[in-house]
Amino acid sequence: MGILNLFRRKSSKNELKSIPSGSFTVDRNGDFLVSTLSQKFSPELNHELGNLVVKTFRSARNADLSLNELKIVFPGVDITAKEMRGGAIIFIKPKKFGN
Amino acid sequence: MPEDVLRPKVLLLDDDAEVLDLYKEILERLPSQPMIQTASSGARALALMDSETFNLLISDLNMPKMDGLQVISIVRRKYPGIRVVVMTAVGDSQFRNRAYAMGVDLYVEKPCTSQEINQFLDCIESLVEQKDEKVGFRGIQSKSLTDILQLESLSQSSSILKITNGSLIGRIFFLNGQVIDADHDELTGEEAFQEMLSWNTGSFEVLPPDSTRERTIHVPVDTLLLECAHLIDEGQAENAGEVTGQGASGESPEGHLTGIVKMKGIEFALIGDNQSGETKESWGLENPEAMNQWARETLKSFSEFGDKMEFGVVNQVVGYGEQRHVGLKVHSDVDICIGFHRNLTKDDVSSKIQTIISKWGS
Repeated sequence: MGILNLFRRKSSKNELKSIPSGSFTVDRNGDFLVSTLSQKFSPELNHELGNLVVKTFRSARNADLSLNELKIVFPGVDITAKEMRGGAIIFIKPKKFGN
Repeated sequence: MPEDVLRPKVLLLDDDAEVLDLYKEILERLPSQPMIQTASSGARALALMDSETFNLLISDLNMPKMDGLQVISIVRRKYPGIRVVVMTAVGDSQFRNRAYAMGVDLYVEKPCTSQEINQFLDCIESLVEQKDEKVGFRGIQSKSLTDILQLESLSQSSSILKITNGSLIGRIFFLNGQVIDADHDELTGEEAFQEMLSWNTGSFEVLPPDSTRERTIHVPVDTLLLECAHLIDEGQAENAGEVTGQGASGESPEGHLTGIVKMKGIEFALIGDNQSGETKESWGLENPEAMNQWARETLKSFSEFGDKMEFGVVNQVVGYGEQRHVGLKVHSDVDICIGFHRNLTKDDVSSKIQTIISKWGS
């Protein structure tokens, strides 16, 4: 029977992470305000993304670029951030393939 | 005689047994001493190609049951690497155009005189001698665009040569063997022609002529090609040298930026080394260092975030503003940062970024 074990799939408890869909807002300090994202989406990562976006808008101004919207394109997800009085509203939209 | 494994393999397809015998004998005498197999029908030829690998297929067009074009379309799909020559009595330009559009390497009418036979054999020898190269336009592998243009010119064609290089598409308009116009993206005339000549790879198809096309190019093809070769040489010489175009606004672009800044709607461009962080080239910026730093930090931060989230490698970052838009992209070991005019739509910005990356790749 041993040889059959070679063809048996190894069970795995790892689950594929689905990409969250929704939006959230952050204030000028990158602090989290309101979210429509699933609870599964780690608040730390929420905070990290919010901070990153606010920092990017701010550093763009230092480089003489006044931006009011950012779109970050990943292979599986688009992140759109709109500047709001120093803070931002951030949309996370997973891509639908095959459409 | 070279070992069999080193000898090129040629498949000769014709429904005329005498033609097969004759050309088999002639082709075997080529300096490369190819191994010649023959097939008297398309089905037989395809069966042979399933069982062994050939370097070259020489096919007739007019054949019962399955004609040459049908065979070629299957061969092109199943065996894209094989070179294909059409040798036929059909002189109709429609079939010639169709065959070239399907990607044949050479279309010749069956040679009649000894001179024509010699020319034909030279062409075959040159095709079987060529090793696989990555550079070349699909359709006539290992032939440069210049060769294709010269062929069209020599044959006194009236046609449109549609050239595709990734997402870039251009057209060259021929009238009786003369180039009368060209267009690519927003470029037209000689400018578009020059741009297309700088592409190294791609595919082409021959389309019916546009009789209403207005003539904007009045220079003979040879002169045009010579001028383009000169310009390309100059460009390559610039690229080979020190590339440090730390240009302030209005300064002439250098190196990779030359092609980019010609596009409409580009306000500035910058290329930074994403390893060392140095600005490699810039154009249209008062303070390229500040822009380079912002571009680098932004791409790096979002890349790290993408890794953490398992989103994959960041494709691009686009910023929209009331004064201008900006697009960032990592390409190999450089960060590319392009400023766009505020009037461009989001779709325009996105498509221009793609175009720039395609150009860069070519």
